[in-house]
Amino acid sequence: MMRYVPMMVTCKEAHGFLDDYLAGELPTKQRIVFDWHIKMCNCCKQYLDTYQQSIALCRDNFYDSEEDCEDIPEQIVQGIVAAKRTGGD
Amino acid sequence: MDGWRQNAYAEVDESELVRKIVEGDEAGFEYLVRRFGGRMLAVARRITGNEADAQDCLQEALLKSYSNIGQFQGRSGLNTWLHRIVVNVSLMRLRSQKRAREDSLDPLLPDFDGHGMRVGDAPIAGVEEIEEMYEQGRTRAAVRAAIERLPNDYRAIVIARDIEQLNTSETAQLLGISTSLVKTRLHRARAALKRLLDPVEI
Repeated sequence: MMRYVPMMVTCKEAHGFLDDYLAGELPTKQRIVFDWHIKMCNCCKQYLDTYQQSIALCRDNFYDSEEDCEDIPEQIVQGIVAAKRTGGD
Repeated sequence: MDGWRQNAYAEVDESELVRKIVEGDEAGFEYLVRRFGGRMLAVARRITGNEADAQDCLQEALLKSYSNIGQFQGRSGLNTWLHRIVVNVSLMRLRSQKRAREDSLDPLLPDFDGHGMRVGDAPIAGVEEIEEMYEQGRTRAAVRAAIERLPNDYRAIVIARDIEQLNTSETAQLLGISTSLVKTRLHRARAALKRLLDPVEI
């Protein structure tokens, strides 16, 4: 039989703490509760790991790398230079 | 601009280039467009998701940078300064775009049982394509396809917060929404992306 565990939260409640936890903005008491939940719950531990990794994956792969960027087409250069001369229209 | 004149500008450092543009040097501005425009266009293309909008955003960003170049302090590089301008313009464009059909994020959010315990995720449609891209080594394409599935309002927040690393207040100010809405949408968008990218086996 499970004994009363102080400060226990459900997975759903812990899920709501995720972003503040990652931002380091979770108040101390909630952080302790969250840490405790993650220690006890493999599903949420795994979820937290992949959640963080998917954020990093997006950050690192959204833009083209510097070397993949093509030169700006000449037609566009001329269009912008002309627009500057006419005041941006 | 003649090739030899372009080469001459390549020798000029950034603060000197800025000074020339502030003084009305047209060739200097043209050099700036050529030097940084390709990268800025790629950024606008990625954010707006279409070529016509990207070109409009590039032009707006470069004209804005021309008007404000006197405010360039040189604390960051010109590249970084211009990047921020084109990102801001493109995010505003993204927010104003209404797509014909936007799928709800609900099927992509985690499931919990009646006691608030996490339960296994049900299969979702459309992730095979993302998985296939990743298996082919096309990680960028997989990530972009996942982000592309988000509604525009959510996509703008993910780009601002997780890719551009703006904080919650900066994002709220840029997009003209409350900080609590930024947090709510970011949480839903991240959960959806995590689910979409799960097959990637990160």
